[in-house]
Amino acid sequence: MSDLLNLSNALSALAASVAPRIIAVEGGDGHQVSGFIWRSGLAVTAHEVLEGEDEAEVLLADGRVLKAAIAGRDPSTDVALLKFETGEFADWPTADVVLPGSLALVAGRSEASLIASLASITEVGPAWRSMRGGDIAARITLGLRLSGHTEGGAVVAPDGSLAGMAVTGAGRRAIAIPATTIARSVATLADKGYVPRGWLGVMLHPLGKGGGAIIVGLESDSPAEHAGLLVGDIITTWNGEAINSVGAISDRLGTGAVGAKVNLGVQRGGNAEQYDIAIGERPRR
Amino acid sequence: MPSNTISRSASARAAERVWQGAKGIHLVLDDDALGAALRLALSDRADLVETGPDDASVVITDRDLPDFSGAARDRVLRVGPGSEGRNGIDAIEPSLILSAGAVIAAGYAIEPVATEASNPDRAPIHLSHREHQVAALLVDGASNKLIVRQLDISVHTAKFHVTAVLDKLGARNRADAVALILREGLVAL
Repeated sequence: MSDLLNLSNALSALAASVAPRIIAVEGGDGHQVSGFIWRSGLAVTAHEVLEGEDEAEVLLADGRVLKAAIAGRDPSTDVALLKFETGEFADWPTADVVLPGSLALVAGRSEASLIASLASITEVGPAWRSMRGGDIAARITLGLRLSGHTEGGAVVAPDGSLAGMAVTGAGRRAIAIPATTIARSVATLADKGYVPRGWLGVMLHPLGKGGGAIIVGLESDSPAEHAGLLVGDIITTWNGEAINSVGAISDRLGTGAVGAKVNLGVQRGGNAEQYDIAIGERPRR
Repeated sequence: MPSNTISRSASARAAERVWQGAKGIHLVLDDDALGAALRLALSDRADLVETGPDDASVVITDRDLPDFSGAARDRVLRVGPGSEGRNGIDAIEPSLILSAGAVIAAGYAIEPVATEASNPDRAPIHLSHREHQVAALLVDGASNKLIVRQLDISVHTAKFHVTAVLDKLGARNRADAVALILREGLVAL
């Protein structure tokens, strides 16, 4: 048999082996994307199509349509966690090392059919922060265009392990959210149903020229209040780094900040002062 | 000598320099100290010379723009504290001002690099009380159903408020709206 035939057969065999895990997910407004079963009872998909919803419809490989509860979402990594009767599935082994130039199969589902595309891993860049403040383990770029239906599909390494979830990133490029990053979000979402944010307990306004952010409100019993901050204080530095906007502070209050200690440089009545704060977890209603 | 006029002989010399290729700069300044500093800096520059308004390629002023009209406004460089936006230099550093003046005299315009704090065109975002409540719930990742329960409103009204918040923020979707709500300080951090 020719090499080409061998390659083709290997790819279709790979697609067939992962097909049982690949699902289609439909949100409330009829938009449909792909997803995949993470382990028994849990599936992962791209969260954007599920905005505003509590549940979604999923189409399984065997043709069944089920209602799935949205167990939680992490907008910073684009991961939404679905709960439904998946059947028995072991954890999907995650790919070891993803190398640029290697191949991957992007597997999605549309209506009743499996959609399988061969893609190159065109780039494996270092860890990066998404525009919504998520820490993504690696910048994995895929050499193909995702159709709307295959957003959320599984990026499968040649050995059948899971390399990540396919989503469209900046510049309409297809990227893979690495399996390790998904695992982190899944662990938190399965446990709490949400991803916690860092919390100081202050209402901030920008200060215009001169930078910094001024405290216009202080929540009682908050980390900021406990540290001794007052309304009217101007926050000018965060662990020594200059703060010149409210966004500079909210960017630093992502999930990883919970429990961290930060030294804030503050202007109070013309005097420069320093305050140490233990960042709390944002309270939820 | 008033800071806005130059003597007749100086004017003649300036016209000569302009004819030779220097760009004319007319100073209209209330701040005498700034005028003196600029004139001193001008004496070092071969490419610029102080002239009267008729020979000037650019007018440097610390007054407000309404004092100038029509096409002349494009040739006005505003300097000093509070000079914002196009062709405004929020400084009194003479070499910076003259360099900016040379650029404008050559027919270009100067824009400040937009930072969050100094963009004068961005209107502040005002949310109604209800919209604030919805914004806080969006940050918590609330579904429409949860918003309905928490605020005791209909699904229709909840969706209406969510849309209004997204529109006011210029957000394409809820996740972008949350990012903006947090960055704009519309909820406590």
